[in-house]
Order: sequence, then structure tokens, then C-alpha cells
Amino acid sequence: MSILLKLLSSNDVVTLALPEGAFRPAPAPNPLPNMELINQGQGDVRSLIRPNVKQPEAPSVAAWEYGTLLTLADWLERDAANADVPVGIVLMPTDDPLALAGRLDGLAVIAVEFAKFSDGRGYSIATLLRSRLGFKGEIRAVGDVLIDQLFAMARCGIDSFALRGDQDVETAKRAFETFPTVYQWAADERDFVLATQANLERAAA
Amino acid sequence: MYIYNAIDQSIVDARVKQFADQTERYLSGRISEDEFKPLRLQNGVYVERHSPLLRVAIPYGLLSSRQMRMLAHIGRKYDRDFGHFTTRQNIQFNWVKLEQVHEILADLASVQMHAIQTSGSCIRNVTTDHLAGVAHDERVDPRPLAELMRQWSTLNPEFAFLPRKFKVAYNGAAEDRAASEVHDLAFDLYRDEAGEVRLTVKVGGGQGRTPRVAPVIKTGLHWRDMLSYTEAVLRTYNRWGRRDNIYKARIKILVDALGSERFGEEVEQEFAHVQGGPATLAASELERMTAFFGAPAYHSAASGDQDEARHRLSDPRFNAWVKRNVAKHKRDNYGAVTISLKPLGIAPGDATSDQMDAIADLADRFSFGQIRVSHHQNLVLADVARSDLWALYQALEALGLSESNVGLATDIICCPGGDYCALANAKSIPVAAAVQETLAAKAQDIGTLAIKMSGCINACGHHHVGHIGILGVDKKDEEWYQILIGGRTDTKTALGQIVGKAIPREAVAPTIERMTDFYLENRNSGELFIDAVERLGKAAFHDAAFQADPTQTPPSPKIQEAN
Repeated sequence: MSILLKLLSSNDVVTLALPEGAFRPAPAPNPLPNMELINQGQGDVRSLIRPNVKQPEAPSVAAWEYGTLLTLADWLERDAANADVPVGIVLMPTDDPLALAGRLDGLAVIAVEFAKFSDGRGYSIATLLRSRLGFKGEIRAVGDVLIDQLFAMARCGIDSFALRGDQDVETAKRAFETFPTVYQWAADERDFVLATQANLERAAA
Repeated sequence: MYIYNAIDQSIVDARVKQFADQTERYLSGRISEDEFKPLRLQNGVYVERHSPLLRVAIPYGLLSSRQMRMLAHIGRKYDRDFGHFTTRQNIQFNWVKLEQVHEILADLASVQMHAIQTSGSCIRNVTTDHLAGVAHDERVDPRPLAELMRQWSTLNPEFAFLPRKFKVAYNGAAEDRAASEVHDLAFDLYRDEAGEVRLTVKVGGGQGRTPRVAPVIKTGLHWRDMLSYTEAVLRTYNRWGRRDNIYKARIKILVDALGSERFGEEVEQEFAHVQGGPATLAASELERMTAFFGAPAYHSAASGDQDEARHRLSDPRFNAWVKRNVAKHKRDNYGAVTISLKPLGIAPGDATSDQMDAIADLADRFSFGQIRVSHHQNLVLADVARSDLWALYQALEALGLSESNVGLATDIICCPGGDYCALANAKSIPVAAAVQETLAAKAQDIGTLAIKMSGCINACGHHHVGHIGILGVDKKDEEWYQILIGGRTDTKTALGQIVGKAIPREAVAPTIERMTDFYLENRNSGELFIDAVERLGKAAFHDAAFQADPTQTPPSPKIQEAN
């Protein structure tokens, strides 16, 4: 079963079970770390460094609940007229979300590809979709969607999460409450504590 | 200094809980090695050659005596009775156990400290001038803005997984004591004609394998827009910085590729959207934050200069210590005292737990309970009444902490190197020790000379900006060393140049000694080493150092490429 988390509000997370294989499947189980070895250090690791990082070529998901996910190019080429069916697209890390300016009508879901969890481009893509373009539909994280990045993803305006197959759903649901409060503005428009102009105005109102 | 409120505390406490949970999931096999790595790194945990290491953030190098005592306690309880102060004003514990790290973090949180973002591909601990607030040549105290940057960057969700690490430094004085121009993002602070704080922004400096002095991309930025502008810089970097090769992923490579002008335009376009937006600081905020860094209750009494003069005349060692270790303070009757962590025979930057406790006591007695860490890996008591200098000196002498070598050839900046670091090509600490030993007798005569040693090309020991730099290289699994000359970061930033061929470890100290001897023979009256290098040329120093040396061998192609 593939589990989609949907964040309705900060303390209201629902789960949606989708057919097996809808999202990135579970990798092979992890070996238990050998603490003795770790606490003894890892010696010289220079030979283990691989400078070149493989870049993603294709999105990790092909479909969403109501059909195929289009690529950005497919969507932009499409005639905007037939907007009867809800459309979903997937943005790759190299895609420019600003290309969607004026082309958001008819889009129900924008999937943002996190080809690797450590590739942070998706956070800026989601931020721009929400705050710059004002996209009101669903922004879905797909790919390497792991518990420990959910909080940051949600803060950047992502509101649904295609959990990788091995992620524990209950732990994942709690991840949205990891921090009681936050310092800085982000695209989720959540209250934040830095004394900015906007905050003072908000407090005065 | 900045004092946490309940909100700051709740965030740091939540972070401890989060990491305890992550560690537990890792240990039970629910998080893979690769996925745990950035989580531990963003909490300061490396796994080094012989043990895990914990790097603790000391924001802009400022510590209270209470915090210093906690660091001493951590050294005692979880490490081998010592800690290592780093070139980024942080402290590292070299011998911790991974499963205990969350307990250490909880101890740190109890004194308003943390290890958040001290490593990993994120916005790192913010650094600045160790004399901030007391420097006689200061235009603007950088600490209030540095603290705002610390808060804004802490757990910033959009920039948690940048292409590579991102270091921010502030300078608000005529002399740049923060080496700001070799940082990813540097702010130079000044006041405009109306008295408003403004910033010159430089982006894309750095050391490592592609050393760069950061070019200016923005002038006259109002402080209220500091965070919005930083957001624009980081968003540009996050989206367009290279991620295909970790050696080409720092922002300097992007700035290089686009050219600083074009990069600046790109940022400006983004800034146009976010200027005046939600990251705009409130007009009153600088004032509120500045209050945390207000002047302590200085005595206005007579300076005690006469006592100081009397003791200086009667005790030449005290005289040397005052000359080298006491910096001019903005108040005449105070001095900023550097406690050198570079005595002979000790790894540069190391302090024992007992020393940390003792220094905390001295800070309470003589310097309003505060201590600073300098990027030179020394500690500073920034507000000592000159009338107390003699008493402080005696106390330091009793502790073996009165080495009067600040800024001298023996005050070497040095990374942990191959003794600890899993990435190092060569050992650093024994090389620094040999150089210190060789030059100790002449150091006072040589005067100001910044020697900086890195055990590999990552340049944690800042070898690019040493007047003399030493770089450890690997040649067919053997440790060799390249010598650089001519780097500096004081009133201008210059990168050193490699001179000569790589040499074996035992040749390093004699080679450097030939350079300093050449300087002693050829200097003009009052001329510093680095100024003599600029006048006489690097070639002259190369010739003096290398022509007589039979041990040199041609460098391997790998080293030439690294050059």
C-alpha cells in the first residue's frame, strides 16, 4: 500500500491509501548500525568520496488519483481551453516553477519531485508556487519523501506527501508537530516569532 | 549578550527531543546510514577517524562564564577532559559516543546552547569579529544583526538542503578580524549620513580547493532588508547552484560561472519580489536587539596606567604579554585580553576542562562574566580594566595560560588534521608543533606573522590567507606539504600563492625558518613580514626558502592539478 498524507491544518493530518507502487517503494531493510564500529571512528574516508552525484532524469511517480501526471513542458504546450478534468503535473528539480505564471488555472495538483531527500530545490520550488504564484491547489511531495523532512516541506507550502514505502505512517503524522513555534516566515504563512514589520502589524491589528 | 526567551528555549528543547528520536530510530534500523548522516551533521555530529565528534555552536563566538563551565563539564563527562576551539569560533569535542550525543545536547540546552547547523549543507553558525563591541576601530557592532541572522537561519525550512554548506560572516570595523571576505556571504556594516546602519554585501568568497575573495554584489543595503536580501541570495543559490559535483557546489562556483555582476542581477530580480515582504525587519528591532549587547558597567575610575607601567618596567614577560595579548579597547582604561591557546606542546585551540573552568572564573572576576572565541582559536576576555591587567596576568601565569604570542609566528591556526580528521591528507598538529618549536626563540623579534596550517585542501586551517600557509597533500599515500606565501585578511584580503615544491614533514619548519630569516635580514625598520613579502616579492622568499634545500622533489600531477 502507498500512503498519501494530506495536511488539512497543522493538527489535522489524514491518510489516503493508494494502490501498491503508486509512490517510491521501500528500499531494502537497513542493517542495524554497529555502534562499536561507529564509536571507533571510520578511519580514512577519502577513498569513499564520490564527487559526482547522479542527477534525476525521470520523475519517481507517473500518476495521481485522477490520471497521469503531465510534465511541465506537456502542460505548457497544452491548450488551456479544455479545463473540465482536473489536471496534475510533476515538476522536476531543474524545472522553473515561474514558467507556470498565468498557467495555473485547471491545475489541481502540482507534484514536486524530491529525487533524493537531500536535494533541496523542491523547497524553493514549492515556496515560489505558493508565495510568488499564489497557487491554491495541492502541492504534493513525491520521491524520497521521508519523515524527517516533512516539517520543512510543510513549512514551504507542501500539503500532501507521498510517503516512501518504508516510512512509518504514525511517526510521519506526528512529524508536523516537531517544533512548537518557528523563527521565520515561510510559505505556509504560519505565525513566526522574528520581530518583522509584518509581525508587528499583525500584532497591532 | 543575547538571552533566550521562552520561545527560543522551546525551539532548542524541541530540537534535542527530535535528535534523540532520530538517533533512536537510526539505532533500531529505521533510518538508513545515508539518511541519518545529514540529520546528525545538522546537529554537529561527524564520525571521524577514531571516534564521533560533536561540534557545538558558539554564535559569533560569544560565551557566558556559565556556558563555558558547561563546556568544561561536557569535556569531563563525555570526552577526555578537553575541547578544541575551531576557526569558526565553535568548539568541538573529539571523543564522544553517538548514543550519548542527545544527552550532551540536553546539557547544552540547559545553558542556552545548541549544535544546530554546525555542519551539513545548510546555513552554518554565524561568525564575526571577536572584538565586536569593544574594538576601537569599530563602525557598527555587528552582533545584533548577527543574532537576527542566527534566529532567521535556525531551522529555516527552505534552505535546509542547499547544494553545499553556507557560511555567513559579519564585519563592522576598519580591520576585518572575521576574515569575512573568504565566506560565502559577508556583510560589511557602516552608518550612512543619516546614521542608519547599512550593509555592503559580498558573496562567493571561500577557501577550499577553489579559493576566492568575495566580490561585492550590493552596496547600501538597509539593515531592515538584510534577511529579505539573504533570502534572495539563498533562493538563487538553492535553485541554480551546482549539485552534480560536490567539489563544485559552493556558491562561489555559481558566482564564478555567472560572473559577479550577472549573479548580482539575478539576486536583485529575486530581491525585487521579496523586498518589503514578510522578512523585512521591524524598525524597532535593531534597537531591541542592540540592548542585549549594551556596554557593561564600566568603571570610569583612573586607568591605573601607572601601576601597569611600573609592572611592565619591572617584569619583561608581563611587558611582552601586554604588548602582544592586550588589544586596544574603545575605552582607554580597558583592554581586550587574548588568552593564547597556543603554548608549545599543545594542539592549537585545545583547552582542558580545568582550564575552561578557570577561564570562566577569571571572566567573572575580570571581564563581566563573558568570554569570546576568536577565529584564531584563542579566547578573549574583552573588557578587562587596565588596572586589573597585572592581577589577571598573574592568575593566567599560574594556570599556564600566559603565553604572550598573540599574532606571532607561534600563534598558529591549525586544523585537527590527520590525527583526528577522516578527510585529512596529512597530519597538522605535529607540523604546527615543529614550526612553533623552531621559531619560538625568534618569534618576538619576527613580530606579527600569521602562519596557518591545513591538513588537506578543504582549508579548515585557512592556509590560503596565512602570511605563510602550509597545506598537507597526499603523494602516493605519503604526507607532503606545500608552502604558500602572501595571504592576508586584515585591512585587505589576499590569497597566498604556492611557492616551491611539496616537501616532507621534517622539512617544513626549516623551510619556514629560512623565510623568516630572510625577512629578518632584509626588513625595513618597522616593516611587518607580510609587507616585506609585498615589497620584496614572493619569488625572493621562494629563493631564500628553497634554493638551498636538497630534499625537494617534483610534485606529482595530482598536486599540480590541486594547485
